[in-house]
Amino acid sequence: MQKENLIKINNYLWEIPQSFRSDMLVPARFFANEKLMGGILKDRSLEQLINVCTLKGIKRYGLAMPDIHEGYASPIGGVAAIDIEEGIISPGMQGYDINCGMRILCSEYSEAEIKDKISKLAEKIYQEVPSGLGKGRKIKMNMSDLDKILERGAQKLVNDGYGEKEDLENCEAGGFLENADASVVSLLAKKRGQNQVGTLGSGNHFLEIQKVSEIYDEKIAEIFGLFQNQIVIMVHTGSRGLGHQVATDYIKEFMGLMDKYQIKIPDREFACVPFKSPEGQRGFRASQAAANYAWANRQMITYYVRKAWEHVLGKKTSSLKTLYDVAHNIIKLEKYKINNQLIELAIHRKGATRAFPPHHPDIPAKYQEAGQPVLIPGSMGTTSYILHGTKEAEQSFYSACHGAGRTMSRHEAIRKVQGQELKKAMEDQGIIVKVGFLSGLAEEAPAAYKDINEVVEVVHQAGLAKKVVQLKPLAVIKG
Amino acid sequence: MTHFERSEKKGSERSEGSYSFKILPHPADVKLQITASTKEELFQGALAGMASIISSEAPPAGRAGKNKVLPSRARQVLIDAKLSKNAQIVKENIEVQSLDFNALLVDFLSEVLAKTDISHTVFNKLKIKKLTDNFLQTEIEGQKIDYFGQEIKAATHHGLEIKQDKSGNYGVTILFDI
Repeated sequence: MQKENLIKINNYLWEIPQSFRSDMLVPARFFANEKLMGGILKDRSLEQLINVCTLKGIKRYGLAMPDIHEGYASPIGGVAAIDIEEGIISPGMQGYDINCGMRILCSEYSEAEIKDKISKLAEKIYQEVPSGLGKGRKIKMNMSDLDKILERGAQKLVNDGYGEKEDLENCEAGGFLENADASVVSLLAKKRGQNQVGTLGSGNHFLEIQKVSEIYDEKIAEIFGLFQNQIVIMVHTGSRGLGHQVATDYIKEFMGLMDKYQIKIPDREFACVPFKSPEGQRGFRASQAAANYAWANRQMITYYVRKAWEHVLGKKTSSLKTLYDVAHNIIKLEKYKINNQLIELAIHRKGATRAFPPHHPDIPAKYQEAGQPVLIPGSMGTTSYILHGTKEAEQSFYSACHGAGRTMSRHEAIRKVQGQELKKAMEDQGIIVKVGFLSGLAEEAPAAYKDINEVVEVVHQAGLAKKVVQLKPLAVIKG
Repeated sequence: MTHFERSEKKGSERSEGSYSFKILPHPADVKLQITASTKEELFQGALAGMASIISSEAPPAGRAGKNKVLPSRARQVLIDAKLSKNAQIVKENIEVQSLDFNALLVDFLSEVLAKTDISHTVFNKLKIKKLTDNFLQTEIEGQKIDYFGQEIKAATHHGLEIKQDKSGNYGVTILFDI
């Protein structure tokens, strides 16, 4: 892709016209500034974004967030809004890690109050939450409980005593999607999920103890319960092997149905069927079930983090409160006005965070004035951000970025960055590092990612979400 | 670029042949390029290549310790499945029916990944019983492991096309979501 093929809509928004390729059904639009553009043009992410624009039933634009980078099928950072009456459902357009997402837990302490306990807390969390590669929990869940988790997500665990009612109120979709159906999730997927509720996994998944390092919007920070130097805990993980298997199962099934439904796609990983077809409905209900599993996973991790917190700080300390929990790989039904008609769309987000505006009916009562908390992690050891939703984000179907976005392959990062040196560099900055393997640390080195500050600035300036606070890591826990 | 080459003598069920694989860079994921003299070897090469990604820098069963890291050579030793003599050997049977030969390779690797996840085993050997353009029946063999070096979320169909060159060798590049 050459820059001269792009139309500059404004300083933060670019368009590839529908005329660029004959199979495009809508134009492509992506959010970036000049600085990020250089990296975006280097890989195949825009070609992949054009492919998104060929999906049957796509409305307005194929969209990408400023952390866009090359993936498979859709680029990472892609958003496709598909008309459920005439369009398709594509598991590859949400990715294999269904409902990979973020949760932030807020304490009532400032850094100064518990600084001497952070190291012990990090060690205890590392012990409580299995974070290693392929590590599961020792006890396998029975299939009946697993089915309930698939259909009731975090709610099932809160009802069983593994959390507070407020955890559900402050979670996207209240912690579960009602369309989920455990009976359409394969036995293989369930077997993979039996001992992984409450586990982080590997790759870019992590848990961080952070402090609020800068406040950009005092009023909204107060609504969110955030204050300067406050200790918070950030959780990043998804639906683990169960979600990977659900996506694998339905991509395989849908690939075999493409001829039947006479659907043509530019990449097999987009394998799709009509949303309203019997197979499409099954795939959708399975995807929702996997999303529920991910919310349960983050809920169980919350339970273990709280246990660690109480162990280190004492039982009389106030509990950690869930600020919010939001997915960035998901297919969700949402209503939007298209040509002056309110219609239901299947919003496919692959590496994009939902960012609902103030007064949206699907966000908690206490955030109605502020808009949804939008949780954006930086790369490991760098700053992260909490933003709030805005009405201007309707242009992106209320979506924002999901992180910094990679610029270097994991293997290149491992070759270029010595895990031991990186660990030392982070420790020199005062960051405690609890990691299973130093290669896992190296592949997530900040040098392998775009500058999170730049990416979030584009989100802020484009109005997709507005900055509320910046977070700095004090401890990193990962597999 | 990491480059492993393997040539191995065949068991009694298979004819003589060889394969090689190498790991290619990708911005977010991992690409594995395999060349092989036969279709059977292509599957063996894909399995061994995937095992090498999964077991990269992971200590074998019984030797894992918190915060301990083995030298990168451990990866190579692990693929040979010789380091941990006491580790449990696991054998599984797999049958895969697919749309076509390209899909068959991905579907086979997906089945292996699921079994890897469930049984915490790195599979690196196979005995093919039947292989057609859309069907595979095989036994896979591997070693139990406590930690994986790299968790693979999925083998993808992205841009995958098995090609045969003028000398009759097969080649393919597989993108893994990690």
